[in-house]
Amino acid sequence: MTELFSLIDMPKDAKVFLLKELGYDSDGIYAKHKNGTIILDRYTEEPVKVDNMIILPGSEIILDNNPLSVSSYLEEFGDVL
Amino acid sequence: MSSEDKDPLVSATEGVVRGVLGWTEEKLKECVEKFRNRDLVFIRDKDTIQRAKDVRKKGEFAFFKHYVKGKEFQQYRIQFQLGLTLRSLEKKGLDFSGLKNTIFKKYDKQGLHIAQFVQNGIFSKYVGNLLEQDNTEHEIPREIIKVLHNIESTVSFIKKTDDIRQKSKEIVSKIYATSPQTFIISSSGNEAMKKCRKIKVIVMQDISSSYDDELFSSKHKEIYFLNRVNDLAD
Repeated sequence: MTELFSLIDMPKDAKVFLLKELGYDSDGIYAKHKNGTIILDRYTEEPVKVDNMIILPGSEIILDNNPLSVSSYLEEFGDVL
Repeated sequence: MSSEDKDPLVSATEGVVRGVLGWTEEKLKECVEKFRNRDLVFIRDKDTIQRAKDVRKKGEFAFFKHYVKGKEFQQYRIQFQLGLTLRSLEKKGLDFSGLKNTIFKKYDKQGLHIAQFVQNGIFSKYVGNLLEQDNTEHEIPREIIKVLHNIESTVSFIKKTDDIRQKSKEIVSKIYATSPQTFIISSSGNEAMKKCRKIKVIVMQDISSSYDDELFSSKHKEIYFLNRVNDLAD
């Protein structure tokens, strides 16, 4: 069973490190692609903030933590969580 | 690579990581490894994920997705799940205005109204109403998709701020324009319910020769189904 690892109590620096380990970047506020462009939520098309991001499987999908994005993800990728 | 060759920003970040609340570089790398093996996902709070998962297990959604299949209706299935999420938040007394705004921003008024159609329990009552009208198994999905597609012309959500006369006129016009098999007038909350009753009376004065009305009510919601008489007689 997939482990759900909460980022809620993780310090910002650790989240930034995590993003970099996964091949992304951050200015400490927004999650960014390696080329410096801000990552937009796949479903809401809003910029993803480091404080509210979730990272899900499926080519490393970085989303904003909101019900619309989570439900859309589950509808697109099935019950993988 | 020597420490001098390292990106100073990365080095600084790693330095902080090593020291804060046990979030060591090694632990994070281990998490990344697990993530890549699909053994771990990074979430924020459990509630958002759990609620979305619970909604997908509900019988109401299972029924819906059984009839509303295919990629072209994926949007309806998402809106349906969001309606169940709104209901779950409402039942728990949690604020759902943020989610309503997010749905509106993404799907506009129609998408929000579909979600509210589910949130307020209108969908399940609508299906009961459909079955009572002797629809065949093949007609059910067609009728469900039709009501969602035409939600703006077949469902009216009464707000406490609505003008009774104006809203009644608007509903009568919609009914005359498309002559739907069923028109639904829905309200939630005491003030809206009072207005809804008055609106229903005015509307029925105009259309009573062609439509019958049926009321579904609970403590905080009133929903009127106006069913075309000819269809009932068939």
